[in-house]
Amino acid sequence: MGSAVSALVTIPVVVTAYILGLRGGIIAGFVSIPLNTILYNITDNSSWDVIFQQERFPGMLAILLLSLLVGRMRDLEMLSQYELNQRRDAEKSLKRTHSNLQRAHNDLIATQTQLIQAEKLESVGTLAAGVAHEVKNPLSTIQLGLDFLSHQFPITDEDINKVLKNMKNAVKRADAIAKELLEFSAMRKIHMKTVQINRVIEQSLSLVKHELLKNNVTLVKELSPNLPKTKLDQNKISQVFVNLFLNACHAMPYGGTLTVSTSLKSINEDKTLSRYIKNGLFKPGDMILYTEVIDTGTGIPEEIITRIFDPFFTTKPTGQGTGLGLSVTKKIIELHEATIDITNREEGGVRTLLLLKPI
Amino acid sequence: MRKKRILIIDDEEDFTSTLKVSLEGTGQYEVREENKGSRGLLTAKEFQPDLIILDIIMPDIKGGDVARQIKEDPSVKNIPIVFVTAILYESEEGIIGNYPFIAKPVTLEKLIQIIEGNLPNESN
Repeated sequence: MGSAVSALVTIPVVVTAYILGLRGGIIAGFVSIPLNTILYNITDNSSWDVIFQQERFPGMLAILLLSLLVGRMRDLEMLSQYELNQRRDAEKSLKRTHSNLQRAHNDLIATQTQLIQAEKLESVGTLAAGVAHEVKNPLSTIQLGLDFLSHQFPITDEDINKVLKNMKNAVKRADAIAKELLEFSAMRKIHMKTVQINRVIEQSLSLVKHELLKNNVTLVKELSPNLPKTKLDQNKISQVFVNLFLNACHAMPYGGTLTVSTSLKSINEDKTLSRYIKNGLFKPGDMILYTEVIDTGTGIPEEIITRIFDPFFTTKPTGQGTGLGLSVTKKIIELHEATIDITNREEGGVRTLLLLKPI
Repeated sequence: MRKKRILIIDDEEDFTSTLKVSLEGTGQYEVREENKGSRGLLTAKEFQPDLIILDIIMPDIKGGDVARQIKEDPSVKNIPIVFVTAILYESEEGIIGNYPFIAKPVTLEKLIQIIEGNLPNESN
């Protein structure tokens, strides 16, 4: 009967110790001693006078020790579980802090890049006016000299005529570069007018019509009718569109499709637009004139995409581009408190997004 | 027929001397160069040209000030002035404050056209 009594007492004691830990184990262990005695006495019909019999001590002591041991182990297990949870929480919080820091770091880099860009533009703007002036003066001498020589003698030699013609073309090209430099330095002056963006786009498209035709580019216009008007410098924004369209043409030397679309959108409408709220350009709920220029061309190599707005950065061969086109574009857009983004499309080609404020 | 007198006030010596040779080469003009803006008025008074070609950016005095000095002097105030400058470009050419403005570089043909269009009637 003794082993049955031991089992009857041991199981609840061990379970209690396991549930409550060491403290529960101590209490259960000590409670088990009188309980054990009572059960032994009932089962053995022993005299109630003899509460503690010497031969029962080892069993009772074993139950007590077992309950202490189980309680202690349970405590250790709970402690390690607690530590594990703590560590998990700490890891989570560390990850959160890390991602916050990462975001802050990225923002800082973006701001720094913008500052460097602004500084570069500023210094280049000042430089540009001086350079343009210095270049145009000697060009005038060359131009006049060429005109003089052309008129001075009856030139019948074909080669001489060819050389004179080439020199005149070279003067024109150098003048075009100086013109772009001047344009760049005069960027601060804008003349705002209330206009319809679609009209500016149409006007700009008519200027590049020949180029589109030459490059076998199909034009797709998705211009939303009844758009609200906006305030802008028509000539300068037209210059922006012409730049974008020409770049698109050059990216599609074997033909392709140029899609130009306009629409009115709420800044909240599209998740990708919310970052312009962060930039401080737009407020939540603002309506925007959303203009997209999409080409199916070669796209921009990823390694240079961050530099496309840098002054004097060009991928065109020497003599074919000033590298000022997109930096002038960006400057014009900034003067209009608008924004421009140029990205590669997954399907290929480039997508230029232009966001303007309607009135 | 009397040759028309043209005074070029510009600090770019290469430009003025090429323009002088080019204009005189047509047989229609007598040209004087002045490479110091500050001497512009004095040379104009002395030479009494039919037309003045004036630069804007010069190291000693700006073309605008030379024009003002000329317009304030009764002996030369009626001489027409044409500004030829490198600080403009073609699309900005035109009449600004009664003066024609031409962007450098300019072709000889165009310059002669502008000179002829601005010469006073009696010299034409």
